Amino acid sequence: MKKDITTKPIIYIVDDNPAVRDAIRFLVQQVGLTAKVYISAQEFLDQYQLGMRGCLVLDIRMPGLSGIELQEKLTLVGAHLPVIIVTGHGDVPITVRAMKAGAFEFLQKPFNDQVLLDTIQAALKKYDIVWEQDDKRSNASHSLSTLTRREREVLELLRYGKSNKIIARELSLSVRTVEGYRANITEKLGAKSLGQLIDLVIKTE
Amino acid sequence: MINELTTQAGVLQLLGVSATVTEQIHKELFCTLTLSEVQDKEILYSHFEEGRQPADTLLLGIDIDEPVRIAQRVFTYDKNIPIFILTSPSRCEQLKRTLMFSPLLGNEVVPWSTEEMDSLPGAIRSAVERRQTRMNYQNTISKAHIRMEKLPLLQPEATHYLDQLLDHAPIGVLTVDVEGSILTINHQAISILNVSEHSTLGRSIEEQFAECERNRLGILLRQALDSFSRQEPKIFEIDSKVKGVSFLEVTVAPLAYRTGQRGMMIIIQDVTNRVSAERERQRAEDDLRFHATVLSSFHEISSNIELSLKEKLQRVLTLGSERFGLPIAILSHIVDEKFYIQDSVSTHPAFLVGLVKNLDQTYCSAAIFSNEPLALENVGITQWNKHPTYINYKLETYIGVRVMVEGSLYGTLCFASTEPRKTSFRPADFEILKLMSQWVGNELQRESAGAYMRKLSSALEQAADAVIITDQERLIEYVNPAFEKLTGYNREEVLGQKTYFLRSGVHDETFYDELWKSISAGIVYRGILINRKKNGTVYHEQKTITPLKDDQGVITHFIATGHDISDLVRAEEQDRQHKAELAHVARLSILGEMTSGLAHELNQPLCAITTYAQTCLRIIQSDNYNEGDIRYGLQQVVRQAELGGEIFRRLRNFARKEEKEQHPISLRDVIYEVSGFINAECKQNQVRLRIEVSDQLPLVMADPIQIEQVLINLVRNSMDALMDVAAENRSIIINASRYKRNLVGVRVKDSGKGCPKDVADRLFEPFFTTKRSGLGIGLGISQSIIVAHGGRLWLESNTENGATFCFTLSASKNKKQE
Repeated sequence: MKKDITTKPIIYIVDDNPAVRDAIRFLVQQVGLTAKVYISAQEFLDQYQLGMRGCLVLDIRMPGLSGIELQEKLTLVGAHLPVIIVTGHGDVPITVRAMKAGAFEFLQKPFNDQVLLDTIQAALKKYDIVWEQDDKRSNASHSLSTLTRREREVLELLRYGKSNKIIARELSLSVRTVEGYRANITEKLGAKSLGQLIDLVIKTE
Repeated sequence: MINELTTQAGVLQLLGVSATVTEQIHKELFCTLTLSEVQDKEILYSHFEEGRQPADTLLLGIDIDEPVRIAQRVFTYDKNIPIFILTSPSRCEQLKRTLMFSPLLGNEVVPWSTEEMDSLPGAIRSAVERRQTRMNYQNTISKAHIRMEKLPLLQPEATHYLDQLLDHAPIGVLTVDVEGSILTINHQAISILNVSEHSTLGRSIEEQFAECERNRLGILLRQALDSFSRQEPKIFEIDSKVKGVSFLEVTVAPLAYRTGQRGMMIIIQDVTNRVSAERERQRAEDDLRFHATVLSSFHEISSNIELSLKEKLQRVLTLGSERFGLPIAILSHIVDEKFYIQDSVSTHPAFLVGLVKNLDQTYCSAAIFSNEPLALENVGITQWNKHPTYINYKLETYIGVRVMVEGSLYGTLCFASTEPRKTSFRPADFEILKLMSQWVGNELQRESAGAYMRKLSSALEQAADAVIITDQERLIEYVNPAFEKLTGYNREEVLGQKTYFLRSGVHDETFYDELWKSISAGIVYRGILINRKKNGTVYHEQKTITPLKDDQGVITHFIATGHDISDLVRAEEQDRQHKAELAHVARLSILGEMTSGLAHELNQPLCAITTYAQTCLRIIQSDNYNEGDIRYGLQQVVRQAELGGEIFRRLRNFARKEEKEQHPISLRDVIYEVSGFINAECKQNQVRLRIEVSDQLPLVMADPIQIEQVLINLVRNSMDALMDVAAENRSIIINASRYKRNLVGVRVKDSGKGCPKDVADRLFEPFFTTKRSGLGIGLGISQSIIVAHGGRLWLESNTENGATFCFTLSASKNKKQE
């Protein structure tokens, strides 16, 4: 059973300007955070893996793939990664677009170090919950994958509140067999009640 | 004893002369006279009798007995010896009287008083000289006479031999008696006179000569006889049936025979050739004299500067008319077969000035084909009597020659008369006529050249351009009024000066040295000189200095022409300033448009600085910090601050107004500078900017800021063109490479969709723009910048895969880049 909550969050810094990139790295490392730098949005995208934990500090205007496009792509793949936009341009349309795409915060260069750090901390704190749920969900889905085909069929019908008897009839099984399956499922998924079981299934969807 | 005598120095014989006197004479005359003392008179006489060469003068001493007798004796030997007799003053007069009545003695015997001893040497010397002169005259003849008289007596064979000699001598020799009858005649004389010996002997010599000459011959013979001296040779003409007219030179010499009988020897020589040559020479001399008179008249006329050409021509016609003895003199001008009488000296009504005749109606029509004169002397009796001129005007005599002006026929110069000419024209006449014709031709040519020169000089005088003519030493010989007007200097002030006074001090000495070296080498100078007027005003002069060369190619003068182009220069300067201002405005406009990008660019280092600094602060606030971290942070701060400063420098540089001179610059540097500028904007527009600069690219002559401006313009235009293209496909390439020899090409290539045709056509029009913001002057100004750099800017390719702008710059002659 994996438990990824202990994984240290990483600050991903994407900025084409080497000085800004390095300055942010310098800052976050000083407060004990781990930093990783990328010179372009594309480079980050190439190395991105679902389940990365941390915070993305992203410059919005870059040649090639822009910051905002990267953000949109991440949202699309369902990444649970807070994005702090840093930009030298305070232009409204891009800000709006970024916020709509779910940016955590929007900071204008040059920014106050404390503000950035606070924002990063806030983002990490907020996403801790998300990641915890993600963990659970991922555990659940991991449990689900251990079920046999018959057990999954039984679970599916259970989900819709069908009784053992009806399930047995629908699956042309004996009630006893269904009950056996049900016990197996409960055990495999660690659910204490039918309600927990159903909750777990929904989470994985 | 008698000393040896010489003929060169005179010899003075002394008889009985005292030593004192001898000494005195010797002292004064030793260089011209040899003194010879004789002991007594008998020795003196024997000296003569022995036929020795006589002394030149004889001096008898005071103590001699019977000096007159001695003189008489000497006189019988030699009549020509001067004799001085020294005597006491008391006896002198008596002696003189004695001598006066002495029949045998002449003036050459002089008694000399001892009182006048001082002048004696002078008298002796002149007597000696007289004697010698006389002897020289007579020596030959008298010696011959003596010998002729002595020879027959002493040596008869020799006489015969002499006859033989005479017979074969190349001269004719006759002897005649006092009547003129021929006694002897030699072969040559027979041949010359074309007679026989037989028929002539005993006949009068006069008969042998023509009737008209006999009288003259008689006179000659008589003179010879009377004066008993040889006569100067005379020329006689004889008319022989066989030989025609011939000329004889006759010399007559009197003869005295020992018998006392007299006669004459006549020497004749055929001198026909000599005489005719002489006559020929005489004629040539006459011609020459004729020539000379005409020439001197010519000279008088042509060198008379007070005469106009018209008057000179008149005088020449008159001169010719008089010389040739022909009353009609014409200078004609022949044009299109017409014979215009331009000048004439004539009373004949048909030959007055201004009359026109058909050329074929004149004798001149036959004279115009040759430089040789045509001469007609008696037309009435020749075939020319059918000629219209003869029929119309009865011109019997004509001489005419053509007149050439600058190698082509001008007309004729001719003289004529209605009288036939008695003697024919001589070669000298032809020569003189030719000379006249040449002179007239030259004068007419000079007149027309003069008219041309007057036209030229009036053109110079009235030319709007200032003209200076200097000699090869650069001393001013001429300036025209336009020069005076331009510079304010009067002609009198500057003639003979060098042109230094015009110098403004703008050009240095080297400049003038180079200029002088160049024009001295014969190279025409064209350029703009900055000069100073008299009132101090400095002006620009468009100058051309042309070296003038003579036929040998040696530079004799320099002609400088020029005009004030200060206004033009000012206008150009203003135009340049306007352009520069416009370019500056355009640069500011670009900066305005680029503000956002530039602000971002500047924001980056600012942001980095802030962050580094804050972090450093944070570090030092912590309890145990790492100094290395702080050092790192601060180093980065410094670096970024410098980077920001660099951006500011670039901005300030680009926005500055004044221009820099063009100088050799590296295009690579300029392009990287531009990329620094434009990077932020590219990033903003997600455009990839690639730079390709060839290695070994030469430096170019340019003002870097202006070239930056052009490049930024082009890149920004490309950027605009890329906005329609997907972000990942937006790219711009700046390429710099060798274009052609001595040119570098810079291309700005975009990956856009190309430029629509109607836009492409109007790209370089001022104020044409497709952008909402923008003045529409970018490309126009870029083009004028490149043109001002001597290059070209154009849309090199335009396809749906993108457009490429290209411009060229001249490679600097300096060393290569990299």
